[in-house]
This record gives sequence, C-alpha cells and structure tokens, in this order.
Amino acid sequence: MKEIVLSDPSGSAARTVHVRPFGDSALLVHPSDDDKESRWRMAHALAASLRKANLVGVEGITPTFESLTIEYDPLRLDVFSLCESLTEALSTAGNIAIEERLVEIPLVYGGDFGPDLTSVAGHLGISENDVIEKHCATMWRLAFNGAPAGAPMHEGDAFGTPIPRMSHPRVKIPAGSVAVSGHQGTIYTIPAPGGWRLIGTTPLRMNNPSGQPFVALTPGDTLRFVPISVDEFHRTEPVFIGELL
Amino acid sequence: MTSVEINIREAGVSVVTDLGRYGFTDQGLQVNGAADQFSAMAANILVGNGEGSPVIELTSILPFEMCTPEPVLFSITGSTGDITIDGINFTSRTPIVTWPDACIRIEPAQAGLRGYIAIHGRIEGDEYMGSCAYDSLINRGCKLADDQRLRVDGHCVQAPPHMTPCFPIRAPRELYSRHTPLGIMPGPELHEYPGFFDNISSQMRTVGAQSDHAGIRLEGTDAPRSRTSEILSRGVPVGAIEVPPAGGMIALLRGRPLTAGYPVPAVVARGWHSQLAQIRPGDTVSLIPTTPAQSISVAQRRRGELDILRKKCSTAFAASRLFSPRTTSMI
Repeated sequence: MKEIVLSDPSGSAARTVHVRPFGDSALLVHPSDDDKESRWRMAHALAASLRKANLVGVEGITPTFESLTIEYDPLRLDVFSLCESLTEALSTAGNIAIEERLVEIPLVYGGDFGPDLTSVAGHLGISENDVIEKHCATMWRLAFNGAPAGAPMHEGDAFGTPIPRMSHPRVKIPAGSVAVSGHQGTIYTIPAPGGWRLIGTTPLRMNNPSGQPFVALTPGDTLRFVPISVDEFHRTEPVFIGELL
Repeated sequence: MTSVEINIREAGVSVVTDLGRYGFTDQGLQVNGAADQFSAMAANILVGNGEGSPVIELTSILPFEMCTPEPVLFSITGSTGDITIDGINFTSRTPIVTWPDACIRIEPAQAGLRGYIAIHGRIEGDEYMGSCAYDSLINRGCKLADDQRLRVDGHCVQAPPHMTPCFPIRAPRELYSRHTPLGIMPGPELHEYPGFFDNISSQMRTVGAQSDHAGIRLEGTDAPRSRTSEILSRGVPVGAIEVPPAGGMIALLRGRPLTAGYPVPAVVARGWHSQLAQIRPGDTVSLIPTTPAQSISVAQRRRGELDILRKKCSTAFAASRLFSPRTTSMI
C-alpha cells in the first residue's frame, strides 16, 4: 500500500483524508481540507471517533497539528480493516463537539526567563515589547498535548511570519519555558532538549505525574498569555494548572 | 495473599516494567514498557504469569544479583551472561525454582543489551495510569538500587516433586551479535532522500554512545535531504528512523518522544523491533529493505513460538503441581 485517499461514504461533504503507511504498524493520516483549522479539527474528530470504536489491535492514536498517527498491531488488526474503520469514522467525525475554554498562562518575558526574545524581535524587525504585545494579544489554540511529557502544543498567527528554529538546538531547556517556532508554541513540562525559541517562563506546572489526569488542558482550549513581573513569578506557587481550572 | 521480598544485591542499571502504558497518547504519554517485548513476554510465560505482568529489565553490560529468602519460580530471557545460583551454573530461557536464601547472579553479556527476569507472582511496581512501565521523562516507575527489597505477591511455589529446580523446557534461542541487520520499510519522507534505499544494505552504521531507551543513534554518512521545509510535529511510531538537524539518524524505541517534527526516511519493520532493542552502543547495524508481508511473517512466527511455549509450560506446571490452581488463577 502506498498512499490511498479515503472519502466519507455518505458523500454529504467533501471529507477526504490521505492515508500513508508509516512502517508496517502505523498509518499517517492527513485530512485534505483547505484550511489548517479544518484539518486540525478533522484529525481530532477522527481520533475521537476511533477511540470510541475501541478497535482491538490499536496501540496508539495521536492527532497533532494537522495529521493523525494511528499505531496498530498488524497481527491483531490488518491495515484494510483499519482503513474501513477509518472510512466509517469519516462519516461520524465532525459531529464531535470540542469544548472550548479560555485559559490564562502567566509568564515572565525575556532576560534569563526568555533568552531568545531578542532574536525573535531581531528576526521580525520589531522591538522586544512589540513581540510581547503580539504574543499576549493572540488567542492561541491548544492543538494537542505532545512531546515531551504532555507539552501543550499551541498554534496562533501572532507574528504574521513563521519564527525559524535555532540552528543549534539547546541540550537542556528548563521546565516552564514558553517557546515559539513557525506559527506554533509550546510550554516545556520537563527539562528537555529542543530547538524552539524561548521567550518566557511560566511558574505553573503543565503536567501532573503524581496524579490523574496527567494533563489538564484539552485540544481546543484557548491559551492567553499574561505578562507578570519577576517578583510575581517568585510569589506564585508552582502548582499544576489543573488545580486552577 | 502470600508475598516474598526479593533482595536486590546488585542492581546495575535495572527497572521494573511491563509491556507498556497504553491509551494515553492524547495526554502526551508515550507507551514505554519492555524494549524487547518478545523476551519480556517469554520470561513471563516461563513462570506461568500473564504476558503483561511486571518484569525486571536489566542492562546486560553490568552484572546483576538478587537473593530469594524463600523458593520462587523465576526465568531469565534476553541478553545475559553466565547465570549462577549460589555458584552453580544454570541456563537462561527456562523455568527455575530456587531454594531458601538462594543468590542468583547474572554476569554481563558479550552482546545484546537487555535481559529480563520474571518471577511467578506479581512483582511490585510503581503503578500509574494502569501500568508500571518505567517512564524516565515523568519519573514514574521503579528503578532498582543496590540492597533494595522488592516485593512479589502471590509467589507461592513448592519445590517440584521431581526434586530438581529445572524443567525440560526452553524458550527459543536468541542469538545476539555485535552486528545486527534490521529490516526497514519506506518512511513518509523517503521521497525527500533521493537514492536512500540504493545500496543501503551494504552500508554499515555504528551505534553512537548517545543511545538509550528513547532511541539508538546511527552514525555514518549523512543522508542529504532534497528539501529544507520544516515538518509539523506529528505522532511517530516505534521503529521510525528520524534525521535530526544535528545529523546522523535515530531509530526510535518505546521510550521515544511521542511527537516530533523530524523527517523520517525509513521505519524499522515490526519483525525486527525486538532485535532493535538489543543493540548496544558501539555495535554496527545494516539496514535491509523488507516488505510488510515479510515483516508480518517474522512477527507471526515469533508469536507462534510464544503460543507453543505457553502450552508446554502449562502442561509441565500442571503435571508438577508446582503451584496450586488458586495461586495461578490470581495472577
């Protein structure tokens, strides 16, 4: 199997996805909608629909910005049955409501808290304050909880132009770092390597390895960043964000 | 329920783990679990446990030693060096019943990277979201330390009536070498790497020191990419061979970051995932193009071996009256 195109059998809307094998135990599914908002929505609606179907042999369902990776055990689920289930999911997907919340994230911008604020400003040809203003004014959509360890990956068109990654990735980025790259952003949940540009740090914790659920934000949530002072940062309890929602 | 405390005398680098923490990819949790799933399942089958019961995963570069105050039924699979109990030689891949205060020692192996110890009963782990799989990123799971006590519940076994500590059963032999051929298939960005599969099987790649349970680093000639566009983060499966910006390639294991935005020209086929987990730094690998049909037939053969092993074990355990039906049904 190379690439195949699956369509909604009811044909009510132009719902199609491009499906490519990702090895012999995973499929990479790209919705073919015109705008990226619809592609994101479709990837997540398909994921929800497949989770509900609870297919034997499915090992992982991971929707991200505009694609969906489905891992499966080919000894328990053959790829053709999986494609059939995916086609069925196409007809039910889209009816799934995604609850949308506004979540405020406090952070200190720049300096040691955001060492790449200067380079982001330089790339955009604007002042650091303008970068902060644009970052705060943007309603970022939480696209998914991803790597590493449940990092809330979000998307928004704050700067009009994509932010390039660092040419030399950092070996260790502290937890709480707020980073941007392309039209995307993330918040580090644990110390980790990475090549995104760090513009600030939040005192809040984004994951909760000592309890359940592991993360509190859900895809579709709107993130708004709120600047705080260094004093406020130190006065803020480093609590799990789930305790504040 | 009966329980026993195993004394871990020399832990080396070892953890308690199971087959993985499934079902939470939407929260950003990677599956983790035994890197070599086949060996972990075989170890559990050899002691009459469910295949997904917790096991000890050890790094076979270092020695490992544990003592059992009471008789336990245990097995060792995967990569191991010489195995002794109180100085007496034993073999791997077979059920063994210890005697009171027995000291089991596993010497480092010459090749392969991970050994697995299963003990009849349930090894106590750090259960989180339905699994005790070790996850170093979120600091969950049980990493063993020297002189640690490890509880095993429902271990109750009696000395077998034939009065020898062994059974004439062995799991299929695994041959580990310092060179591993891996079956690969095209990845989603293969077209961005013109000629990637040409002569690939004749190229040797060395495994770098920066390898761990997240993935193994393959050094050697860099594959040139025909595009420079960045890839949006997406879910990447076990076995994916990523090309990070720093060069080289990384073949991903079960502790991989769940999502990433690196190009993937190839994926290690499922039939070779257990071998992939046994490659140690300094080894060499060659990447051999294969097909889904070949890969699945390898995986099917391995599955068949486990099924036969389970039948043999249940017949032998029933005949030996090693444990009462009450204990087996509890596991």
